[in-house]
Amino acid sequence: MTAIMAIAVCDSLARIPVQVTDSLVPILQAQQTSSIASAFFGSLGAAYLRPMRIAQIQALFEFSNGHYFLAYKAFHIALVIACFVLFLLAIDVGTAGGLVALPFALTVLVGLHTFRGMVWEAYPINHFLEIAVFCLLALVLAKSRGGWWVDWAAALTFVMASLTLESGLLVWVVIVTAWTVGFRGVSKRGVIALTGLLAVYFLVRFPYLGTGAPTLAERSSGFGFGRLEPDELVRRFEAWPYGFYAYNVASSLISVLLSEPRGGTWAALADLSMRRVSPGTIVNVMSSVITTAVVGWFILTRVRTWRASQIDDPDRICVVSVAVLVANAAMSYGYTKDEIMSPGGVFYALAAFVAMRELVAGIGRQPRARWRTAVCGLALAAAATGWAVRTVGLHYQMQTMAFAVRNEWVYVDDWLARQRVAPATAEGTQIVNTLRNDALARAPVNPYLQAQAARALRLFP
Amino acid sequence: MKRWVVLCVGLPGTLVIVGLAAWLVASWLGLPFAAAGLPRPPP
Repeated sequence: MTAIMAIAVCDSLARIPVQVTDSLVPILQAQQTSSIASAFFGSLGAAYLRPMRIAQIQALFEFSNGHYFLAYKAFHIALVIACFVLFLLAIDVGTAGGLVALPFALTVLVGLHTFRGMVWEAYPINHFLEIAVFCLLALVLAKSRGGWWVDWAAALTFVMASLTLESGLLVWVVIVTAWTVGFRGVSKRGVIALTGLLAVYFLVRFPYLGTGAPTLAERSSGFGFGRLEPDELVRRFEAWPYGFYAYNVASSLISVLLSEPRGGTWAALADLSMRRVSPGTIVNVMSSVITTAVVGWFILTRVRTWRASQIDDPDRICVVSVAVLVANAAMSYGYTKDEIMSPGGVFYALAAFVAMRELVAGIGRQPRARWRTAVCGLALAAAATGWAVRTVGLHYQMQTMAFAVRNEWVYVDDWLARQRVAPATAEGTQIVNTLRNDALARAPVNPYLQAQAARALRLFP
Repeated sequence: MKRWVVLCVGLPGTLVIVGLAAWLVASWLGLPFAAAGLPRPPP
């Protein structure tokens, strides 16, 4: 089941050409950079501390030997496969109840809106997916039998993740929370070393390099029922930005739990007030609300035993998942968007798995079906069907993306001129031509020809 | 394990996975183009 789900995602991913808007400029910059080391150290003075991200783009560019699409897509596909394999290792299917909960959890993983940002675009590496993979790897290491190599692997994972993207610090959250609740794959010494590395990160980032935090003037952000442009954000929140930060944290958290708001904007509520809510939005919110209720039920029923220090592996996974979700939301204080919450979304699917497995086993133990269990069954069927629809929706959206990206390449020269980033060298022009020919040779299906019923019903918003 | 629980929780996800497998095979064999009477696009 997991393999089919992974292959299907990889198949849709491979149909999308390398993007013009987010990928071409970094690739052209890689062509002008002399080595991986200079890419790494050259990025240290930038607005963000993400040297490993730049170094990886450079490494793949040099490794590609002119086959840019192949190199960047192969890396993306490898990350998707790693995500599914680590997800499977983390949940430990085990019982018959686990086999029933597995397809449910896989559709939650793939169908959640935060997953889409990890697979339908790249920059030209999707570092959001990388961070989710690093977090899953950290959990698998914490669950392992341990050993000196596990401590080293955990430290390496943290260094790689934290230098790729700020949300890589979630690796520390995973390992420390896992150790606190009893996963001892990473030793006490390993946890202390990791905390030391975290301190070094902050010392290097702030006092040494002077890399700041995101400011209000950097980008537009969703707020309430609409979006605010940077100058409006500065005007409203410059004097006291903490209310805006709290809104972003709460929005990010609720977005994963309820599939609303999206990007900080309560679009569904705005649509509801105008009586034009799409069926797709209803499916999204309904499936998320029921699944979050199942996770909440699991936590409420187990919290008594946790107080008595009786905690087993499913409980531990649930606690780690909640910690990642909360920490991920806290890190989104500066601005909120679906992609940032992608590690939180993956861990939400983990929590959904353990909660659903427990619920299925609990219902199975009841002697006779009563009206309450019948209502529960109907709700679960509605949620499972909703997640199945959302999983199909991901592929629909990826096919649409493939068509849109291919069209962008037709006008790439105009775009490069408008952005004032047209390549000045013959080598740069050669890269653009190679990628354009590669994109135009593909034959994505025109979305106007596929799934007309889904479009008419507005099933995949 | 109650059969109706398996149906409620497991069946939708399993069906979508079976559907994805069928879609992959059909897509790799070029069946949608054949069904529409169109030539298969070049690789």
